[in-house]
Amino acid sequence: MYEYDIILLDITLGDGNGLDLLKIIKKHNVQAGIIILSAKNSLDDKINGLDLGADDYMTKPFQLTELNSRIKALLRRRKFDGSHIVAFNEIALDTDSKTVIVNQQRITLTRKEYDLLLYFMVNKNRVLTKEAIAEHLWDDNIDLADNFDFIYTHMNNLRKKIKRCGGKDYIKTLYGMGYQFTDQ
Amino acid sequence: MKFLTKINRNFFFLFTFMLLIISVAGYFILNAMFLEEAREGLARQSAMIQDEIQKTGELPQYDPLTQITLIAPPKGKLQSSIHKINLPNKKEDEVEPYAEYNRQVLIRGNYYNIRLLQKMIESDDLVASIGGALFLLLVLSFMVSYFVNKRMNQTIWKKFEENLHLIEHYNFQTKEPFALRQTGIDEFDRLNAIVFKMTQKLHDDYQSLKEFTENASHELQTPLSIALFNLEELLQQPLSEETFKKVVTSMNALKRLSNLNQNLLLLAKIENRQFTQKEKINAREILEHKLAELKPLLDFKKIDVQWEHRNDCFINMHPFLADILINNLLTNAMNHNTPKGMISLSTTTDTIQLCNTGLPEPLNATKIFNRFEKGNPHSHGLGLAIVKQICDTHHLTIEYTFSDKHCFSIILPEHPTNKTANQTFSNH
Repeated sequence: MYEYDIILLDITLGDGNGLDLLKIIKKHNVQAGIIILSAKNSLDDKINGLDLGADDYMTKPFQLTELNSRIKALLRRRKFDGSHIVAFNEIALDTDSKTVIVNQQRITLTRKEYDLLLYFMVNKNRVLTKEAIAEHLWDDNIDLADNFDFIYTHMNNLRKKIKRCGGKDYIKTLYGMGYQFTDQ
Repeated sequence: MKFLTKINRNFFFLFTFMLLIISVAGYFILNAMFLEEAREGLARQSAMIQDEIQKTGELPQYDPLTQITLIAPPKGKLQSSIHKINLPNKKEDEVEPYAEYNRQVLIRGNYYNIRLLQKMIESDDLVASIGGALFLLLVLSFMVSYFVNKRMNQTIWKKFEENLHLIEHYNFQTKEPFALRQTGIDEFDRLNAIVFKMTQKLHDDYQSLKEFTENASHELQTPLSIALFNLEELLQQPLSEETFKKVVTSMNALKRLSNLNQNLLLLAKIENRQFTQKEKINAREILEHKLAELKPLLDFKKIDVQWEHRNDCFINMHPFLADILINNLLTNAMNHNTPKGMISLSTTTDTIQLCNTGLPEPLNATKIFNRFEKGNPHSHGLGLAIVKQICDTHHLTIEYTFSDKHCFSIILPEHPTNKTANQTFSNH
């Protein structure tokens, strides 16, 4: 048998309920991290799923970058071999202590700036839309219609703080609608 | 009014009415009977007097109640009559009723009139005794009916009451079939059968509706997800500015669609009362939690937050709904604010109020809670509709007022001004 690190489990399967499968998985003492994917934004399913031992729950539609972030976060939580460090060139981010080191210098970020940087680093080289970033930083319940300026400001603060320690500006703006964290 | 009480009351009124008629009739009948009785007695007495005179040939000496007078020969037949007359009683200073009996007789060629008087029962005595009997009968019947009711409540109506209780507390959310107890009384069992059939149908409809809304949501969200995934992947390719913008715009439109779908689904679920599991929620705590969450945004917009009252405010609600309620109100106050504006909050035991600076003129109070009533073009216009729906299903009153700020107040049903509404509800 293979050993999986992560299982992505859709609740609505062609031949049964994903929650039932989750029970079977848990009965066999499978150690893999489990993320439930569901189209049902019903709290009951969410609570049931988490109670049954799932690690995370995502409601469709979600973005692949968001899924990627959650998978990486789950991997970091699951493994205890120092993988709580996310590094990109001169930037290193410790997800345990929530600290950021740029060129061996520690920089202080606000909570949202930290989340933003982590999201960028985990999804490096991927194009992220403003909306995807906003959605990641805030609860989906918050109507962010006219709050994108806020993200822009945070982005600029983050850039400044990294630059101050001699870090490069890896945040590339794409036509004013998207961002990419890349060194290419 | 209870069925039995109603029946009893009607019966009691009818009984009283009948007794009244009976006693009025009884009064006259008794009067007539007494008079007839007196007539019979007096006729016998006068006959004896007549025999006496016939035998002895002289008028006997009688008491003052008997008068025998010689009269002129009557023209027709000999007559006898009885009347009721009132004679004064000097001793007791009142008039007393007497039966006056006159009889013309022919003895040894002479005509006499025999007049006899007999004391009758006084009418007020008669009324009093009949009234007393009536009253006694009423009291007795009342007592009997009371005890019979009590007994019937314990036997016949008990199972009916139990079934009523079952119906009252039936919730379509429960998956168990609706089972009423057999009463052993045809009419009640018939009713049970009808209620059972109706609820069964409603229950099935409700379940399929519930499943439909969830399934519809699922069937919509999955293709939306696929479209979004593909667009997101497309975004990773080197694209021209024009294409890039088109892809992003499409993604945003799809996300808005998905968001709209989810909110409509939420509205339907609240309407269908699918959030039954209620907890005692402290609105102040949720508000504080949400504020902390939104603090960076509020700071960024330089919106000043002030508390007027900061007391515990407990609502019985599903925690998810409570969260949405507060969230929607707070984001509403934030998104429709002016730069460097302010939000003032107040929670007391029976009210939650959020006021925000914003447009200088009041909003249309009747329209703002409608669906798709948009404050700004980017929102889906469902936030306040959801708030209203949550309030409606939890018997909370939501009010919009404007003085210099836009204020949304939620009044809990325990509040005195809201008591009547609460009472009408409890009667259902």
